[in-house]
Amino acid sequence: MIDEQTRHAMLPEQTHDELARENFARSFKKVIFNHLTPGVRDVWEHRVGPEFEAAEGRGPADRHEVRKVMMKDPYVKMWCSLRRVSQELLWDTVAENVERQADELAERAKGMEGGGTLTLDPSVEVPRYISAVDVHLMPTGYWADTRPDDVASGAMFDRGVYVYAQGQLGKLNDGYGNTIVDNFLKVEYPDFRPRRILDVGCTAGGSMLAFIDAYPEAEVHGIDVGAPVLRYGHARMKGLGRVAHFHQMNGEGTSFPDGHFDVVFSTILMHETARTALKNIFAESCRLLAPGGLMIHAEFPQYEGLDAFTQFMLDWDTYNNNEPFWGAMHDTDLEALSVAVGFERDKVRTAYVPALRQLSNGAKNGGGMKLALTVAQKA
Amino acid sequence: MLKRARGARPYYFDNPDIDRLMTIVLSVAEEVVVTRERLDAIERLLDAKGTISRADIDGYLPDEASDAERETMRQKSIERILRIMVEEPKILVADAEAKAAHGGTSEYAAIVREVS
Repeated sequence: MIDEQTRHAMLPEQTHDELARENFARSFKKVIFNHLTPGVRDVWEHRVGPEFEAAEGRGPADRHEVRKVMMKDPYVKMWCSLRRVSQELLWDTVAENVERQADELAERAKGMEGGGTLTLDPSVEVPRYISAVDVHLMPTGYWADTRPDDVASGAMFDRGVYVYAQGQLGKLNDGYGNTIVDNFLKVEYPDFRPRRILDVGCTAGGSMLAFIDAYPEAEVHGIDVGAPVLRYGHARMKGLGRVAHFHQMNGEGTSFPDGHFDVVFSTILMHETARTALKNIFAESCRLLAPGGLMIHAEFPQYEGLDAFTQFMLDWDTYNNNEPFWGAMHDTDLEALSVAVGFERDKVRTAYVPALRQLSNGAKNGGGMKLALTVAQKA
Repeated sequence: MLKRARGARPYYFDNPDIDRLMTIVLSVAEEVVVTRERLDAIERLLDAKGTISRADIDGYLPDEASDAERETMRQKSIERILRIMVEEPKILVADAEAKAAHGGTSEYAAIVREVS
């Protein structure tokens, strides 16, 4: 597994053994995904499921009933333990790698030449749904400052997500942005010429890159609550010779004027929020859009219509990977939420596009999935 | 402090010492696999150059073919370490199929009966 990530100016460096540690985490996750996770489905179908049916005289009503019995099975316990440890080892490795060069990366970011803007606002409060737990076990959780001019969590995110996703998001971690642009916007709105584009929860700006390249005449903005990811994102963008504007703001309520953007989008952000926050973000998206503008929030598809066992598998992160809102978000009617915040019913829909990544549902075909785009057009 | 993620850690086993042990065992596994990979780098460099320095090893990047071999080596090591987990569902499925074939008896029991 050669190191293929684009070696842009801000990317942390790895020695032979650091790469080997990352490779271990990747290979470990692959073996779990390919050889053990499908076994969990076997355990359900041939051991725990039949026992449940024999005891209850019926199948499980929902994923919670599946989880209750599955978490008692010795195979499932061990599988959970292995998945958890694989995630911990990955972040241990990436954190140790970034820690040793964090001061140098901070200096490099500060001195990086290039365009665009970075507007930090220390008065922005990190909401509790972000500060209470570090999402998907990444230490610093996107936002914590660990030194002056800190960029550590941006560097950890950029490298860690690349390793975590097995490179499936592309050499620049811009895969989700490319998915929205290439498989949706360019197909369904070929003549669309947005003037201003906003990425809500942009972190290191991977998805913004796709929009910058697709719409060179547009201004591309990104907001996030965490200063370190914004500093890193802006420096990374400059290192890549691109121009973008980064702001420390909360997507629930920004200081941009009404109708300022033609596109407001997010990628895999919704599950990192909370019920009321999600509604606020949708309402703010609506307020920020100019007439004809598009809200596009990308996530993995909702649970509705999936069997209880598959839901249990997809819901693993809710209980085991510091993703407390993952399950509740996947139960939310996002089209209804769009209408509730002011979009017209016939301007709201869900579009499905190839996801690039695979989720662990234990399917023997590898569990390939689509990305669901909640799309609403401002009247 | 980049090393600890906020949020309580779930423990899966009835005895939390097993969870602790799992983390330790897998960290040791990581060390072994990393060491093997470093050894592999040394061997390949020796093949190519006859003599090498520590800097050569630290700077070593495998070409595509060596990289694929190393990836296979890593996954095979991990599969061996996790063998009991890789095998259990297969046995479960085979047993279920055998049970169906042997009229409700496990394959092992059927063999015991057959050889007794």
